[in-house]
Amino acid sequence: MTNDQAALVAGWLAATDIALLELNGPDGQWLIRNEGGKTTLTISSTRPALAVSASHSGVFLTHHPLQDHCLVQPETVVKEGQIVGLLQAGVLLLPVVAPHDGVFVHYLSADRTLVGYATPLFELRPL
Amino acid sequence: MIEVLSSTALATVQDLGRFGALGWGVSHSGAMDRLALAAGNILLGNDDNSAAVEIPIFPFRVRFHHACNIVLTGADHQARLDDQPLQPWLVAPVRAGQVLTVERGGPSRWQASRVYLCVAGGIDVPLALGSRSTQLRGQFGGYQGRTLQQGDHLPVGVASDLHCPAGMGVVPPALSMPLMVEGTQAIRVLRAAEYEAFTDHSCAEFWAKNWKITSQSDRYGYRLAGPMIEPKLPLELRSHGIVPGVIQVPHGGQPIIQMRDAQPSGGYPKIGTVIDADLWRLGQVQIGSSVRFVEVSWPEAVKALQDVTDWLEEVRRMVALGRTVQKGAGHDQ
Repeated sequence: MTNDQAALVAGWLAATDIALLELNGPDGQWLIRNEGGKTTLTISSTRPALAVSASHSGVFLTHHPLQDHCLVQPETVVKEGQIVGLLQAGVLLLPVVAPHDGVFVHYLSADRTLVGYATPLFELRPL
Repeated sequence: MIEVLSSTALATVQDLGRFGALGWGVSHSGAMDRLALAAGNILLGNDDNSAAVEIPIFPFRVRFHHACNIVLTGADHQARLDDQPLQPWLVAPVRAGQVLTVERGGPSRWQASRVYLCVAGGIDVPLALGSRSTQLRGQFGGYQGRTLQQGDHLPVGVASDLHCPAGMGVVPPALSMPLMVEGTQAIRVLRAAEYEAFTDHSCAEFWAKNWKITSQSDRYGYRLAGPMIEPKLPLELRSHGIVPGVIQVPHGGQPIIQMRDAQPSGGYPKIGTVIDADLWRLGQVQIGSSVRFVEVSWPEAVKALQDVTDWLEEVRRMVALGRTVQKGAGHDQ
C-alpha cells in the first residue's frame, strides 16, 4: 500500500456508508474515516526515521525569516521536495527539502544555528 | 498567460517606473516597493525592470495557463498554490492550470502592505513612453492603462534560463536593512526649500512625533495625521515641479507625501523630502499605521542610496552563487 493508493481508496470510501477503514502493513498504518462523504486519511509509519543532513553550510532556519512558526510541524506528512527548512548564507536562502515522502519527526538542529556540510538537520520517517 | 480570477481592485502592472516624462506632465508610476520588484526579478533571471503585478488589496486570485516560475515578494501575506502554502520571497514552480490565491496574512515580522507577483519572463504588456508601468491618471501603460479586472489575461514574456531553482530566495530588505525608532517605522527625510518658513515648534514636532498614514492615502500620495504644522507667516507659492517623496503642507497643516503616481507639479510649501533610498519602505507602510521622520544630511542620503544599491548587488551576486551551488547539488529544474 502506498499513500497515493490509500488516498484513492479514501476517495472511493466517500461514496459508501463505511465509517472507518483501517489498513495495516509492514511499513505502517492507514486509517480512513468517512463522515458523511467527507473522508480523512491518517498515515502512521512504523519504518525507522532517517536523518536528513545539510548539503552545504549556512545558518539553518526552521522558520521563514518573516514568520514565527516552523515550516513543518512534527508528525505531519511531507511530500518529496517540500521545503522543511532553509539555509541562510548572507542574503541568500537555500531550501532544505524532504528527499522523499515521509512523516516529519523533528528538527535535529536548532533554529538559527550555523551548520556545516553533512550536519544532521531533521528526521524523516519514510512512508 | 495569467488569468485574473478575483474582482479585487487596485492591482496594477508595474515595472521600476517611467522616467524622463515629468516635463510632459507624466508621473513616474512604477512599483511602490522597487526593491521587492527588483529582487523578485533577479531571482527569476529577469531584467531588474521587468514588470510584475502589484497587489495592495486582498484576496487576489489568478490562474496560470502555462507552466512557469514565480516569486511573491514584498509583504508577507498568506498565499496558496492550489491548496499548498507558498512561502514569500522564495521561487516556486507553477504548473499550467494552477491557481494562486493571496490573502491578507497573519502575524509577520514585517507588517507591510503590497505583494508583488513576479513571473519568469515578466508581464509582457507593451512599452509606453519607455515603461510598462500603469499610468492611471493618463489611462495608458500597464494593462490597458487601468487596474486589473476579473477576466483579464496578462501576457508573460519569454523566461531566461537564469532563473533560480525552486525554493531559493532572499532575506527581505526590511530584515537586512531595518530602520525603526521606538518601535515605529522610521523614514529618513531631507529638509526642503520652505522648511525655515515653518515655526520652530512645528519643525520640532515634525521630527519628534509619530505620523499616521490616513485612509486618504494611495499611490498618488499619503495624507498624514499628526500635530499641526504651521507657517510663521501665511505662505502662497506658484506651482512648481515636485517629485515622489516631497512632503507638502497644505493650509490645513497636515502633511501630504507625494508617491509614485503623484502629479509633477504643486504649489503647497514643502517641509521635507523623503530620501529616494526610503521610498520603498514608505511604499510598504500600512494604512492606519504610523511613521517617524528622521532628519538626514545630503551626504547621509547619498550613503543610504548607496546602501540600497549595494544590497541589490549583493542579492545579484549571492543569487548567482546560489544558482551554481544548487546546480552542483542537482536541484536545478
